Amino acid sequence: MLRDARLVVGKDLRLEWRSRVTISQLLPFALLVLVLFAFALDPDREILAEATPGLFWLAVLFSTLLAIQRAFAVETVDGIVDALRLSGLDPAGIFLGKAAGIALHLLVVEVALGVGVTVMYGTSPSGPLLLVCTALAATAGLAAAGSLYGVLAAGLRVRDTLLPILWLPVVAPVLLAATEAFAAAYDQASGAGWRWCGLLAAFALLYSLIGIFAFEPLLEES
Amino acid sequence: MIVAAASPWSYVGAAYAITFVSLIVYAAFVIVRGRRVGKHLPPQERRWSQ
Amino acid sequence: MTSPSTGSRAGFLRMHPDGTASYGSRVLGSVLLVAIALFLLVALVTSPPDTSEADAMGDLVRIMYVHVPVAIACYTAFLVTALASAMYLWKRTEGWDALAAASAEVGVVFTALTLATGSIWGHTTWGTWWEWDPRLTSTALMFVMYLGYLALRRAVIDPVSRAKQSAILGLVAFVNVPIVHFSVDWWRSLHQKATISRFDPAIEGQKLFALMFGMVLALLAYAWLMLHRFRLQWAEAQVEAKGLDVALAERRAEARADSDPIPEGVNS
Repeated sequence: MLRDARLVVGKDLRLEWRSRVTISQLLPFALLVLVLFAFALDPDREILAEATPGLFWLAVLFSTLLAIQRAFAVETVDGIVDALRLSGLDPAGIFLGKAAGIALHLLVVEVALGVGVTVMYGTSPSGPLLLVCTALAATAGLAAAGSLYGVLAAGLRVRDTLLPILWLPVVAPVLLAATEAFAAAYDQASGAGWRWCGLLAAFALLYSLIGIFAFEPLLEES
Repeated sequence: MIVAAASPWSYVGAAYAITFVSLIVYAAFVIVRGRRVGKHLPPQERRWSQ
Repeated sequence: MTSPSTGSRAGFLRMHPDGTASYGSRVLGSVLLVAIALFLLVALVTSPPDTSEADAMGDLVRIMYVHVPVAIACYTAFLVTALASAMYLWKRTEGWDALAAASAEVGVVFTALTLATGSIWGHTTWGTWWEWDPRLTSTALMFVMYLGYLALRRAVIDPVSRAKQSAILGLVAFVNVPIVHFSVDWWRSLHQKATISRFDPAIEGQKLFALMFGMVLALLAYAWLMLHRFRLQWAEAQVEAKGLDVALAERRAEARADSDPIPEGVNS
């Protein structure tokens, strides 16, 4: 299973390295979202700095939608999803591989957003250990749930409108928890933050398990 | 209807009205759809009316 | 036990020959009507207003007698969807899929009612229509989740695919419900203002009876709606299957008519 996962991630990363599609579109999108938030809220008042954790994770969430769509779109063009199904790879491995690919893209986006938020919203990060752990746990959860719902929506013509309404309510708790953990890190009230981080880890574990078992039947039907 | 009401009964009335009217409308919707679909189904396949 | 009526001119209340009614559903429906009448009497007239505390709700407490029951019904409906989904994944018979789908739609209706009555109830305490109360917020998320379930069912054409994919979604969505509840609850407990704590008045005696009666009534209404909705779902599945059979048969007939005898199975 893990060997197949590595194969899938390797393939997707190589594809990405050659075409650089995702990074050349995902990163600008994420930064664009930060700018749009500043347009929507008043940049002169303290509101951007206060809302930084939430805005950061909202930007991550929207970027993840794009990342999920992309992760499965590379398979469905020209009916390649059949090839994936027939390839003999362990479906659980494919699930983990896809999730890992999405997660890696997200981590790159998060680093960029972290820089963006520090520069543009004027917040100075603190509590780095909590920030890193939260980011890892939240990213794992987003990617696992994303891989699961991504394959569900992948074969459908309406996937671009269906994926958001299926996936966003599911990861709403991740948004909640990650925002609270980041807010705790920034305010140095890290005790509460670690509990939210724990919730994120539990979510990531749960969805990884669900994905490992549910991916095969969903792949068959996509 | 509700906006300017100080009386509790307008809230109570609104809640009960919304609940019962919605359920009745939904029930009617289901029953009408059922008849429309049932027209295409031969009677022997309608196991509940045997 | 069908009473034959005059075909398509049968009145709405007579048991229509094409419809989803049966002797059982007629009986349940009659019981339900009587129960509704009694409930309205109890909830609105005979049960006392809430005077238990200094800032008691008074007659407003009667809203709870519809809000809590429809909430119970919506959770029951989604539980049934989850169980039916699990059964479908195990047994792979279309009846379980029909049950899951029917219960999800009925559940969405009850969820919308939960949100509406909850908002009205909240307005009496907060003065506004929405205050991010943890239970209502979780219910709103759950509402969208199951709208997504219904949207998925509409998006998949092949019946077996649809059944399998919705079954997995039906299970996963239900697993999400406690996660969402727990995290939203925890989140709001950190930011809660003092006014929210007066959301639940003390319920005992005749008020408790009204509430219990409401809950039983909601479950009866759910059962009656399910009888019809499930039959409708099942009938639609049968008609769809026949439609596919008819289309396939027609194609084969065309293929045979177009050219000389073709070996079987070369059509597609």
